[in-house]
Amino acid sequence: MQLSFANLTKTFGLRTVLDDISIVLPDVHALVVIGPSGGGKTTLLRTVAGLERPDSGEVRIDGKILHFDEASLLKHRRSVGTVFQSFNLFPHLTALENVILPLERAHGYGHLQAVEAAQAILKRFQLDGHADKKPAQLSGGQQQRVAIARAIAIKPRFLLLDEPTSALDPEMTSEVLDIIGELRDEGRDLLLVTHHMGFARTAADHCLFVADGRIVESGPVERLFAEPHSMELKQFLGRVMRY
Amino acid sequence: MGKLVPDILFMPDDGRAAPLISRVAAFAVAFLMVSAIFLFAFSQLQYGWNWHAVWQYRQKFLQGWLVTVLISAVALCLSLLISIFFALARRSRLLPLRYLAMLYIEGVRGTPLLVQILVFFYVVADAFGISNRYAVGILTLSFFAGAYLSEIIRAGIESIGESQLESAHAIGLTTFQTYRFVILPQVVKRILPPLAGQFASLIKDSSLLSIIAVSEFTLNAQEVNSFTFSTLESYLPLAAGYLLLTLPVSLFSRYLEQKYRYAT
Repeated sequence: MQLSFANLTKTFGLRTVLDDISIVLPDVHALVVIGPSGGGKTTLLRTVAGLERPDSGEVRIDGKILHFDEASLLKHRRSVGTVFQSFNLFPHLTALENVILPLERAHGYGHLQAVEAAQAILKRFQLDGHADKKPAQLSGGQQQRVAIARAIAIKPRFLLLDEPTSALDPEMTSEVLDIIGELRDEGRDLLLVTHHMGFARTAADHCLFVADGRIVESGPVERLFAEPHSMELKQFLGRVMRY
Repeated sequence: MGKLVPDILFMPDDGRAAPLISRVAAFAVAFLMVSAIFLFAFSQLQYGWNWHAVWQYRQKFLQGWLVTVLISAVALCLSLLISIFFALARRSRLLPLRYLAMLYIEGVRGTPLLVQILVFFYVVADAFGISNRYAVGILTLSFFAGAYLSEIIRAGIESIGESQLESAHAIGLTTFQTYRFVILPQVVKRILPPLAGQFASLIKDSSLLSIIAVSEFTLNAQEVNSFTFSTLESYLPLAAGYLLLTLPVSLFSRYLEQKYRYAT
């Protein structure tokens, strides 16, 4: 996945969330975005997901400009898989139906074809025993795995994960991180916003440090963690690595 | 230590339902208490009952009752359509439409139905050349109930969390698909009980159409009263006739409430 931003700016009221971001990233497989809360990580991911229109600036994915009219955005959203912090499964649908919905309604699968694809992906994530349960009957970790299954089922160009484990307790966190690691190993491109520095370090090959609406540092993940250049990143790592 | 009052009179405090026997007994007690008050009141009444005179007009009661059923049923369907339109208009991004819906809802909910019926029949309908009092009556009633229903529907739509809409957006559903597959199935379950309750009100409210001489249940009862001078004998069957309609709707609404309480 090749990603570049040019003069990307986004404000919410008086708050500037993305402050004139410009960067050309090398071809990366797993990009991780770290930084303090409220620094703009999530907004950056949401912009790449086609869920947020910037006030100005340009996003290029694999060399192609992302257009921000509704029709282009809809097409773009259908081509990527997005997973949120709070799972966001539909509560009135079973796990299986949650996976089927986008296949059938946004990707033109026939019903049987969609059911088959959804069952296969749930089985792969060891969720086949839970296919007919509603989200409320599943644990947080299971819900998030269903959400990832839903995002993967459509065969997305890449996967966007917005703090996928921050609403989970430690045991469930590892079952979700395991899956993300697996997907990475099989070569799926992903962009991950996370607070798990250990996981970021092992899973990603490139890292962005975002604070105050700017990309403060960018580079191979090992380099950023081993020898941070900027004062902000040094302080940030000092704080999050302390415990 | 012995108990002052037996357990059978109380709802279990551990969330279980009370046993059938104690529910039946408690209902009987409550029913007897209310009956006793009214029996006493009626027994004190110096009144020459004349059921015979009213019985002659039983056809008139039946006809009126059927007209009320018909008017309510038509108004029910119409008000549902009207309310869906205005609930969506209220959320529309087109501002004039949004304010139109707001004016309609607040205007109707803030004024008495009596005044609305008079104004619509003698002023608005007259100006537009609609002279059929049944049509005007049904339309007025539909718009009246529609305002309340549209607020119920709007609240139902807004009770669907922002995160679900976002999720629908992210998986690439269009706005229409989001309404069809995500919002609608959940909203219907949530608003059915209050909707049913509102329909019970609609049935009673139709009685006000008597003031523009729509010969429904209430007007017919009034007429029987003026023919026979038997006021209570005319109006007591009226109350019973409305209960016959509203009670099943109300019980159905309770049933739906129970059924969907734990459904997520």
